[in-house]
Amino acid sequence: MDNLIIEEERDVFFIPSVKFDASTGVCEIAGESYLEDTVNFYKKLLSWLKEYKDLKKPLTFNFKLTYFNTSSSKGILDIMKLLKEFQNGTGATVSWHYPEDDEDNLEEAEDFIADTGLKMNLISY
Amino acid sequence: MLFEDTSIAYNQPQEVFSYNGPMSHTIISELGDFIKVWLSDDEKSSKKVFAILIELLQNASYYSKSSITVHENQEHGVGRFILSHDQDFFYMECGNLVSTSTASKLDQAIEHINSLDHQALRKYKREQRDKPREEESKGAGIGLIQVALLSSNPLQASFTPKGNEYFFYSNTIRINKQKANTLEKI
Repeated sequence: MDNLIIEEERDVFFIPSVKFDASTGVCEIAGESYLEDTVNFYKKLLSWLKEYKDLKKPLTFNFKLTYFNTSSSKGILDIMKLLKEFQNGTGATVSWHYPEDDEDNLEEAEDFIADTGLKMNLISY
Repeated sequence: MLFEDTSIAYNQPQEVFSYNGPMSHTIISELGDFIKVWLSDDEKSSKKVFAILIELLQNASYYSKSSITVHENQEHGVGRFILSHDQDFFYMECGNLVSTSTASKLDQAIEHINSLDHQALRKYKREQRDKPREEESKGAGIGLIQVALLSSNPLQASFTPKGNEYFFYSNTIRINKQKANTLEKI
C-alpha cells in the first residue's frame, strides 16, 4: 500500500501537510486547513485510512492543526469517526497537539471527543 | 484602502478598511493576509479575527443574492465588509443582499444563537456539524455559530428592506482585544 503525502501549501487556500505512512502506521495532518474543495480533500484521506484499516495493523494518528474553517471541521469529524472504528477494532493511538495558549483550539478537540467518543490525548506545546 | 486618521477621538471606533464588492477567493485571501500582518504582535487576537473574517466573507460569497462574475465560470457573491477598532474591541461588519425568506430564517437563527451561553453554543455547533452536508450548501452551515463562539459577544444583525423581495442583511461582530496596545500601531 502506498503512503499518502500531501505538501503543505499556503496561497489563496491553505492546504495542510499530510503524511500517512503505510509501513509504520504513523499518520499526521498538520498546519492550516482552508480549502477550495474541502469535500474531496477529506474524502481522499478517508479512503486511504479505510484501505489501511483492512490491513489490520496498528495506527498512530497525530493532529497538529493550528487553523481550520468550519467546512474543514466536518471533514476532520469524519476522520475521527473512522479512527473510533479503529479503536473499537485493531486499536489506534490518537493525539491532538495544540498551542498552549489557544483555548479555542483545545475546545475544538474537546468537542470532537464529545461527538465521537474517541480516546484522544490532548498535548499542548 | 488603508488610511490613517489621527484626528479621530481615542474612544471612537476607528475604521481600518472597508470593502464592497465580489467576495472572490483571492479577495478573501488578501484580507486574511492583511489581518495576519496587522495583528502580527497579538497572535491571540489575530487567530480569532482571522477565523471570524473567513467565516463571514465565505458566507457572503456563497449566499449573497447579488453576484458578479469575476473570471469565466467564476461567480462570486457581492458583500460589504468593514473592519474597525477602538481601545477595547475589534468590530467586523459584514453585509450582503438576501431574499425575504432567508432574512427571516437568519433573524431566527441569530436570535437563537444569541440566547445560548458558551457551553450551549458548543453543543449546538456539534449538533449542526453532525448533520449531512446540504446539497446546496458549499459550507458547513455552522459558520455563524463558530463566529459567535469565537467572538464571545452577541451577534448584532440588522435587516434593511431593499424593494419588495430583498433585504440588506448586516452583522456586526465585536471581539474583545486580547492585548491592549494594538491601537497605537496605526
